[in-house]
Amino acid sequence: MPTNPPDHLNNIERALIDKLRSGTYVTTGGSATAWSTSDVTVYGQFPTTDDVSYPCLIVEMVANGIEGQFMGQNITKNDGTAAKGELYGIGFNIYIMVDRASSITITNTTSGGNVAQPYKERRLLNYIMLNGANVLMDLDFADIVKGAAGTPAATEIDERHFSGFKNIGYDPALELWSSQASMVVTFKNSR
Amino acid sequence: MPGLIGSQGVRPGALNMGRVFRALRYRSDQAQYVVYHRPTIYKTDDYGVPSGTVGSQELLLPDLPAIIRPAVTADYQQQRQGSNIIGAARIYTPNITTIKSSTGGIGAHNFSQPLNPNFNEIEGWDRLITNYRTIRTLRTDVTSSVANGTWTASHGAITTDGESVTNTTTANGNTIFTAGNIRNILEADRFKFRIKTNFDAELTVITIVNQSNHTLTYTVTNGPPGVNLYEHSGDWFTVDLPFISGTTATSIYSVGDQYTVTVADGGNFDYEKELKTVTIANTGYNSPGGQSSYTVSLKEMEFYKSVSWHVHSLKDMTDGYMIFDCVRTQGRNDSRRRAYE
Repeated sequence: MPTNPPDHLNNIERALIDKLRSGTYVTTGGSATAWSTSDVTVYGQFPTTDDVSYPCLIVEMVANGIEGQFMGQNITKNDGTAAKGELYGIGFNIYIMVDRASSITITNTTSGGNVAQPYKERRLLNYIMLNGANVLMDLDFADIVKGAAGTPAATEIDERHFSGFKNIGYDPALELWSSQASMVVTFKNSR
Repeated sequence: MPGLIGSQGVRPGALNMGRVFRALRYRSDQAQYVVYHRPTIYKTDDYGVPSGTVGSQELLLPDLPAIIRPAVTADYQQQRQGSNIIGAARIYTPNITTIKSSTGGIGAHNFSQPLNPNFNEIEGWDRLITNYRTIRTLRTDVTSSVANGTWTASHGAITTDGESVTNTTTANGNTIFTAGNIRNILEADRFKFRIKTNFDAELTVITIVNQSNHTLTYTVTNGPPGVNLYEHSGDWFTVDLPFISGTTATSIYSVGDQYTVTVADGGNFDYEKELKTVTIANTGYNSPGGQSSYTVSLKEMEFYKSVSWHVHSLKDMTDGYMIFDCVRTQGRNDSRRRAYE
């Protein structure tokens, strides 16, 4: 039975899902949270029709492969130790879906004080898109770099590229507001 | 050729759909009563997005006669971009006048057109909720049995006529069902019962307790103090409520008045636990005074799994009937729900 084998694809996918679930992004004061796990459901693949719960984010891996190679396949890990490996890339599509019943209460500070308003439909989709992007921008993969409990081996992230949202719109047949973004992460495929 | 049609015995518009529905309902399961549901419509802000202000109250009207063909379809495949239409049905209903009438339609007790002008036609995206299957029937033909459970009254005595249980009450209070050794309600997502009183009663609170002693309460908030049952004293009145996690409010219509019902789960109600008790509370005892007895009767009580059909298009509308093409967009996988419990 293998011990601590490379498992970088699962490490990154799970880190991405965890971060989107928390809805937490970085601010100058530390961090802030756009939603809680009870507000937005995050799936690692398209849920079955029986399980789907809105509003939701769906993280779907669509591609992976070698990004770049080095002489003799030698790389140096962040702690200075030598390893075999190459730069490896992984691509995700990220979908957001909001149905008519979806609502998150957001508090905004106005001249009249704090005002709590339910965000619904298009307004909610806009909110989840921007704050979903905020979460992805600040995604530091710190846990998997450290090799957190439950991850077989640390994964060292090299770059991340977020391409932005497209296909934004409302489908009347399905009664859903939706959008789609792509993201690419490259990492050291150390072994 | 005047008179030709009549002489051949064909009279356009003479199809009595109400009669067809009744005949089918008595002889088969093809025709059934469904719950008409139009979710709350909120006022929009200046940018066309719904706010938190109610513009039109939820319509939730049981006892709408319909034929569903096919009875049920289900497609469990989820497709890219959230394509999730998982079933289709063609639903036949009588014309809107028959639906709203007081004989054989929702107008019998839950709705009165003169008092509530909101329901004039079945529109696109309205829902017709059908009984997919009954999960747990609270039998009202026995007052106590090992399998079914026991009926009790906080004040009064329980009897049954073989169809309904009757609480001959001696004060305002509760009619209580305590489950026996058949308790499963995990697959249910709606709770329905019919109630009849012989005095000026009001339905105030419905309480469901599970085997973990979690409490779910349905409390009428805009009644004086509960749902007016006395407008139809002596007749059966249908109550059909959602029983699904996340519900915070629903509606009961009586005669035409909408009663807002808040649903409180106590912060911990687990819908997957087995049933312990159902309590139905009423007020109005001794009004009007001088009666020989004051009775609250219950029947057709069941927890059921529903399918919500969304109206996509109107295919035919005649004097006699209407045909709607409907889809269902959500469902649940009960085996997984039980496995993940």
